[in-house]
Parts: sequence; C-alpha cells; structure tokens
Amino acid sequence: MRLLRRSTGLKDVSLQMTPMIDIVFLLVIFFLCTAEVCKLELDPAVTLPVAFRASPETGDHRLVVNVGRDGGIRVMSAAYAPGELRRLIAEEAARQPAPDGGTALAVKIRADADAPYRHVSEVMAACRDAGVRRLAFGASPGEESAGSGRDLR
Amino acid sequence: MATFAGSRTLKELLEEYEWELPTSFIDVVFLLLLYFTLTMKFHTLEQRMEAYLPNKGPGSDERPPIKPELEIQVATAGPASGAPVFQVGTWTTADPNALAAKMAQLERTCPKYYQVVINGAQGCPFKHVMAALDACARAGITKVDFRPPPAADGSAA
Repeated sequence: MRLLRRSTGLKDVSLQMTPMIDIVFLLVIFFLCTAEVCKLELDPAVTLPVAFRASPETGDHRLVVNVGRDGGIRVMSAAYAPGELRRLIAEEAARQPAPDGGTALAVKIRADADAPYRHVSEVMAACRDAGVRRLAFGASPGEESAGSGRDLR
Repeated sequence: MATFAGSRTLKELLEEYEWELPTSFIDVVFLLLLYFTLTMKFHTLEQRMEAYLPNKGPGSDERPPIKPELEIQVATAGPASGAPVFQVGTWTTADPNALAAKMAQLERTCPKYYQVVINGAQGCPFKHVMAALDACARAGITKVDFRPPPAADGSAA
C-alpha cells in the first residue's frame, strides 16, 4: 500500500471499472460452475435425514446416488431403474480396482428422510453385490439439544 | 498525542495523506471472502454418515469374522403416527436417545463382541434407519451391517 498526497481538486477523480468488471466476471464464472455441479450430483428435491454423529464432507470422489421421496433413483441427474443402477455400480466398481483385488469405489447414498427404506436397501444391495465396502449416507447435521445427540461412549 | 515528522501530529498526517488500496488487493480479499463463505456453507448444509459393508462381492473369498449378531429392528408404530419403533431382542423403545444409551451399555459390557445388524422394515421411512445408525455411532459402534432386502420370491437374499 502506498501513501499518496491527497489531491486538492476534483479534476483527476475517475471511477476504476477494471477491478469491478474483474470481480463480476469471477462471480459469474463461479456461480455457473457451482450451479452445474449442484444440478449434476445433488438432487435438490431430496431432504436429508438428521444425524448427530455425521462427519463433514472431505471432498473425496464418490459416486452419488440420490433416492427421492417417491423412491426414484437419480445419478448425475439421470433417472435409473434398480436393474440399471446395479449395472452402473458394477461397471464403476470394475473401473476402479483396489490393490487387494476388490474395488476402490466409494458410494454416497443421498436418500430422502421420508423415502421408504426398501428403495435405499436396493441401492445398498447393489453396492454389496458389486463389492463396494465404502458407503456413506448423506445427512443434515443435527442441533444438539438437552439429552439428544450426546456422545455416550 | 504522538508526533511524527517533526512537530506534526498523527491527525495532521492522516488528513494530509490518503490510503490508496491496490486493485489486486481488493480482488484477493473478495475472492478469499467468497471462498470461505461458500465452503463454510457447504460443510454446514450437508454431512455424511459412514458405513462399512462386509465384502460379499462376486469372486471375493473374504468373509467377515463370525460374531454373534445383535439385530436392531426398525419399524414404524403405525401409518398414522409415523413414530419409530426400535427393537433389540425383546427390548423396545421409540426414543433414539434410549436406543443409543442401550447400545452404549451393551458396548461397554462386551466391547466389539457383537456384529450389529440393522434390519429396517421395508416400508419404514429412511430417517428411522438413519436414527438407528446414528445411535450406534453415538455408542461408539461404527461397523454396522444392514440386513439385505428379501428376494422377490420371499426368501432372504
């Protein structure tokens, strides 16, 4: 930062447009990119169940499977029937082999809180059959009130 | 008041000079502000519960160690109420906190002895199954298995 002598007149006053344009462009690019990611991976119609012991997202790559309130399965905005999902997970698992011979594929199930469990169970069965061991469920962080969410260990 | 540059005061100096912030500095501050605001929001909005499935994939010889199973049955009290019912053996509760306390008690008595299996009723809302999983996590039980859905012919998968 520099110290400049304060000017006395208003002749040299000018509005600097360059940084403003710069920031506006950055904002536009940012919101375009994040909107695309949200549209592809996360189904906004899914209301996640609350969990007190959920851990923050670490950003590692996972196959995200959305299960809607009506049981509809969506991956990257595309609807899948249970049989198609089974094939997709098997293919992805084969594409990511682990050193021990299994699969390194990790799956995250974002199931609606009110979705019937049978639909979530189908997705889990598909993961199990494909040899997927790293599974996570999307959850909303719970607010700890008196007596709830305490660690009981 | 402190004096600078001879006998002039700080007030006089500030009046005489003005700060000019470089545009790049403003850019960086805005970007940092955006970054931290947005990442903080993402962390708060969505988290995850880990579960590790036993490896029963095709071609796998690995089997989980044989342990006595402790099954948590999860169901709904009725279609009208929608309240959960958690059952461990003959013990029943509708309170996830009571379930967590029960699981913690079992874990303290016999650490790592049981293989906990969650058996959710096929029609019950997923949030009740998540409540059971959360109760296990609060009790320090992280390796939880899930009962597979019954096959189409009615037999267990």
